[in-house]
Amino acid sequence: MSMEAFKENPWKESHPAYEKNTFFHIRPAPEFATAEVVVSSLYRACGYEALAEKDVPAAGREFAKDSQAPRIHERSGTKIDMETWRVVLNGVLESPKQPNQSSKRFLQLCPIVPNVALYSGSARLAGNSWNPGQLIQRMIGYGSENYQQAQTLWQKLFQALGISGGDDIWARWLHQEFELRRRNGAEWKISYLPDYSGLPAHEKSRLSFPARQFVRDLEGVIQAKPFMTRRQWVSLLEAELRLGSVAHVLWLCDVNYQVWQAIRRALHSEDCPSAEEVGNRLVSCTGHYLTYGNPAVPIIRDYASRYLVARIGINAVLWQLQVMGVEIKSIESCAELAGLLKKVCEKRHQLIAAGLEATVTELQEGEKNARAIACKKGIGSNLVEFARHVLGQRQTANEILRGYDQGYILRKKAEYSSAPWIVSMGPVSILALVHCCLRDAAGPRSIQKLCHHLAAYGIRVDRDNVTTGDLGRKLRMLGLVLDSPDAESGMLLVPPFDGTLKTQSA
Amino acid sequence: MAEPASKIKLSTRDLIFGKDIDARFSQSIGEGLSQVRRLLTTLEVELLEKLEQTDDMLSSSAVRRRRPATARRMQNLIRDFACRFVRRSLGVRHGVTRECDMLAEFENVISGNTQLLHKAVKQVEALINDDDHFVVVLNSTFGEPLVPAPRRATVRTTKQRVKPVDSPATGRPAPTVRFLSIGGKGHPLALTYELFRSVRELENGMLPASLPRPVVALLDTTKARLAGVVVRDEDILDGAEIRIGTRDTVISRELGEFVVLNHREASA
Repeated sequence: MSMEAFKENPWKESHPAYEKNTFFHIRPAPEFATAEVVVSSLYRACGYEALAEKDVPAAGREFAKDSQAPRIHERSGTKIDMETWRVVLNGVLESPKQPNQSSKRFLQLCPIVPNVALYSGSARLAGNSWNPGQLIQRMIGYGSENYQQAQTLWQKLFQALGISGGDDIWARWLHQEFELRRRNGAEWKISYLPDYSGLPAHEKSRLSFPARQFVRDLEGVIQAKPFMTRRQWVSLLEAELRLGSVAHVLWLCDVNYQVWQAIRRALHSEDCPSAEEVGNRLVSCTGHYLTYGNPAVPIIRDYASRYLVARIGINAVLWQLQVMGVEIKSIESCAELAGLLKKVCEKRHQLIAAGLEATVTELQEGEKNARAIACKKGIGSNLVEFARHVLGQRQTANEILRGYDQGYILRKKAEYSSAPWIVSMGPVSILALVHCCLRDAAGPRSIQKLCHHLAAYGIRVDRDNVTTGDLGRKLRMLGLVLDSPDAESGMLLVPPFDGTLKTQSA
Repeated sequence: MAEPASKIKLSTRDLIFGKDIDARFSQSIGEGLSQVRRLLTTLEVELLEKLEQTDDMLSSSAVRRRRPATARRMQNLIRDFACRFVRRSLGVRHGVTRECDMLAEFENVISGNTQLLHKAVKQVEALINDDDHFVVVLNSTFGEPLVPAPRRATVRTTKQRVKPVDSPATGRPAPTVRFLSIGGKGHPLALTYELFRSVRELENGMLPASLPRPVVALLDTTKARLAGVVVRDEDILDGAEIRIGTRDTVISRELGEFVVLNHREASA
């Protein structure tokens, strides 16, 4: 790969330093996935490492066929009759299909027990799928202080996802039945968590970004497990994964864009930021990505598009520096990023003389990449699809089941099919967030704490509008706030599963 | 506004809002005023007398003949105003409001009327339980509307008892809210006025489907919280039954193992 090859196709392969040794490169590249796909994939990433994503649809077809065969049913040694088992698979456990999938016949189950992930929940129905579980794995690495902490959390997550003796009766029964029918050799055992920390520990402690909050909240969700049924807990976990994963991806998009802006500034001025400044100004998540109650998709598209522009720019600089004999090995910390900016600053005259700006402008604005940058195809389009389908409420082909998904972050503003997606959280995501937000608070907390908590994920809520708006109404409906008209908008949050707090303090 | 059946106890008789105020004032302001003149202040009587004059004038044939529709509308307006004015004045002075009986009962419950409390507790118990069983839907989550019966998996356990929580009142003022413990475990449920009123309305024949939304939400979250404990507690689960959709198969829990009763065995 060289500068010429890069100019030919900037998306095919990035500079080795950017591809492998950069903390802000988005890996694995997100594609279409739904919330349940993320959960199923996490089961596989956590406990069924042997099973590849691409083998899941075939295993699902086989399993569905087996459930129709009386001889196989008898051989399994189960005590229930075949018709009842079919009702379990096609009625009770079935996760509703989306309007565009209504004619397709495949097994789509609610990932309530680990075994379900062996047969359903891959991002694609054919060919190679990406693995959203690996994204969660990396987020745990990113958000934890060190590898040991990440491993402890991974262990806890594995235990919570598995079915133990003290679990929900329904989950235990399902687990037993699925085990009787299992044919492939994938065993439920904890997989290896790659040592990926993103940024060095001493820098992380100074910065704030969504993955750090996600790791804290994930632990909170795991703690709440004994206080609800398995289905309720899985939906709570799903809501947390949805918000965390999309916020993480948007943060990475934003960091890329900020880095590119800093490089452009360095090309035209002499002052280079220090490592600390880089951390605070470029890496820390200080702003917000989405606003509660506002349309979300155009903003997500904007972030994706800016990421693509930045990616071309950063790679062009790295390739050009290589041509000039300056080898950049890695950008794995704020200090190294500051080092890159310094080098760009030093070599700015040569870089400009080599026509870097013209090259970048041509690549960014040329006709060849226009559709990709506008998120009509390729990486950008995939990013938008990912965010929209993971956050958005499931649209169902079957009208009766339209209330199935309650852990959404985006919902349609109105009934008509082309209605915009606005940021408005479902009851399960509100419960999850209120629980996580009150988990480490000793005394009562007001609605302001919830606003701060959402801001950590890049969602802005106008505190003054909470009382009268959609969020306030939902909080009241769920009995999560204590408010009185005399208290001058002082809404106090009520912990939804207060038992978890007691066990924590005990 | 207070209901028409609300009444004010006078020394000689009872003044019923609907019969003595609404009905009289709809005939004429003079008619209404004659009933309540002695119960109002001088200033109020003065205003009503002026309104009475207007009312009489609007009834006179001279006015009626020239603009009948306007006269009738105007008359309705001032009669309605006079009626509301009197109701409000009397209501405030005698403490008669909408649902005042229910409020008084609620106050009794809070301050320790065991008889009334027992009645309310039994009603809440009936709302939480389904006949003689506690039913948990195993495949639905918070806020999800109930899935159709063929897609439902439920577990039926023994009835979960509702008991009032005894609040330690020594050395501190009496609590303003009564709490109920459900199933003896988990989160106590506050007996709010809204819940109490719904319970009384159910007693008077309201259907559970007409319960106000905050009460439905409160009961739902309470049930959901209780469900988390129920599905894990081996003591409660002993003898519990899981039913799948509308099938006859019953999955039961005995001595820590699953027992399946298929259709024929179940009916045998």
